[in-house]
Amino acid sequence: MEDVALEYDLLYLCAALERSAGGVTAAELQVFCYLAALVSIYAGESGERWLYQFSATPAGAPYSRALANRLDGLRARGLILDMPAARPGPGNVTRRWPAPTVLVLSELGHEEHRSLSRFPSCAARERFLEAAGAITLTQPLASVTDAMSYEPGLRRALDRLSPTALLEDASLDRVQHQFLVIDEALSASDACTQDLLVPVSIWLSFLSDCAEEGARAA
Amino acid sequence: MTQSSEEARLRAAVLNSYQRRIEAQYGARGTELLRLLGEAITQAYRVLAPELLSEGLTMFATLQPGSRPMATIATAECSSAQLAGRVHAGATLQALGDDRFVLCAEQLDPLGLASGALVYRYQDGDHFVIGGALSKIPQRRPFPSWWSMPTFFEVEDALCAYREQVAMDCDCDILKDEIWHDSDRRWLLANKPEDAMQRSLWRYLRNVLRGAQRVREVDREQPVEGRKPPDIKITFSESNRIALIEVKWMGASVNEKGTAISGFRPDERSANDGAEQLANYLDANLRRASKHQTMGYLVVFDGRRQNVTFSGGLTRQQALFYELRDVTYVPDLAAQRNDFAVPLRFFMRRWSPRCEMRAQTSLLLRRPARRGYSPTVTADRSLTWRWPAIS
Repeated sequence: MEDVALEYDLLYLCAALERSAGGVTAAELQVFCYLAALVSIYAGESGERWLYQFSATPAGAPYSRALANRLDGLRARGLILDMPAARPGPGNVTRRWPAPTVLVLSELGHEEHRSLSRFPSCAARERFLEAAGAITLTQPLASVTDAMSYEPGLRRALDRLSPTALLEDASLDRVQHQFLVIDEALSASDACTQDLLVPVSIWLSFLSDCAEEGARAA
Repeated sequence: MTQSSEEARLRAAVLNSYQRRIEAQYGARGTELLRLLGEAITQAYRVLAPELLSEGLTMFATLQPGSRPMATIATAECSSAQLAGRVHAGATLQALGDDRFVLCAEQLDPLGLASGALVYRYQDGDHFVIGGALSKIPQRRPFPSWWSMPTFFEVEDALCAYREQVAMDCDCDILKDEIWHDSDRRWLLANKPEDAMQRSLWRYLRNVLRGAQRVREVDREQPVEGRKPPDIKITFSESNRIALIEVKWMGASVNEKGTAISGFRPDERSANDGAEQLANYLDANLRRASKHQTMGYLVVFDGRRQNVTFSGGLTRQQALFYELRDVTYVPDLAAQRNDFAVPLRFFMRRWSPRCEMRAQTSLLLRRPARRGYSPTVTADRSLTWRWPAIS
């Protein structure tokens, strides 16, 4: 079941972000899967039930080895393809680093995605994945990943610069408290919030504004 | 931040959320249409620059699927790629989804459309019609629209775009309001403007840089072996790459009291000092993090004006004297080192004659190209600003 969920998450978000942002990098996929896990926590699921774990490592965060391995497998099977990232015009940039690539679904990948969506275990995850991917329809992908880096657990892990498990330390309590406040405020307002896109967008704009304020005060 | 202030901020975010207000008014169909419109607006802005739509743009998606509220005699169905040639100063668009639009060249009243549709309006910022009125979405400066923010995978691309789109005309609230002593004319810089300059660039990069970013941080003031730290550090996710950005500035600034020009007046020597400092950071970083591939970028905000005095005036020529005068770097570290990018100078002009320059641009584009006066795109894509100064 874990394997199926991993594959579905990757295919779902890859397809969604290809539509809204023209493709996604491997690192961004990790971030959006992490965001989907947080959305599920907002919706009342426990973090442990997300089926795969995330950690912060010196090489990057959030990072799930299981996701990275499964992504490699999907690439090897030709379900996900590496494409050159679009550049804004010719420019005079001297490229000294390898050209960036983005991931997109192949026709085979789309077929696999459609097949997996019929599985009840996958369908149950869809509303979390959908909300995480749909956020890029209301704000640019770069600002989403930037806001996510101010998520308390991630922020704390990155400050430590040592491998740290995510979604299970005290900082998760803080995120849950933030979610609780949002949920209460939404319940008290006139919105009959069923759509997870609404709380997610509110929470991300809160994180982004906090970062902005912190910079101004520094 | 204390817990209570965090809670207050979160509640304010809920209250101000346009997504919440759309859901409150239109229910689940509202957020469904918000997704549809979000995708359609992004597609439209790939070919239309919102800031050039002088009459604004109205886009809507109907609550009833299949509904066509605009008269067919005055509309045409098209894809986003076809919008570029058909939309001029403004238009009304119905978003159908899957990159299909119904285009009407006339401006229909957005409030009138809102009875059966979720309506987006661009005019000096993004708006949605909520509760019978146009409701402005808080702007993410310096970008004209949330849906037209550029994204870059390369730091150089982002820096070049910042130079053209932001620094040139100080087109962001930080550069406009915080770095100038006389923000109306932009002849004298404020006292110690570097922090605001860094913050402006940092904010821009945070919102546009994507791709291989891993830690995705564009952090300010990262220490490197006890040396004066670089101003901005970008780390890349699942990668051993690091970009260090040193920010310098040139020009006359006022003293702390704002009563005279400060004795500290950075010029080309300061830019050269910055290059040396950056090279030192890079060396230190190489010793400390030898497993990382680091690239250094020097950016210089240029607010120089010729013969500027505290109370005197300037001619246009004096104000723009340094516009095309690049800094000479000795030694040329960009040529000598693989980890040192070509330094970028961000010349900040006297008060924005952007409209004036646009008018000149359109005139020039209509002329047959002639030697020495043809509007070719320069290598660094600074199309408008490489032409002979027009007095």
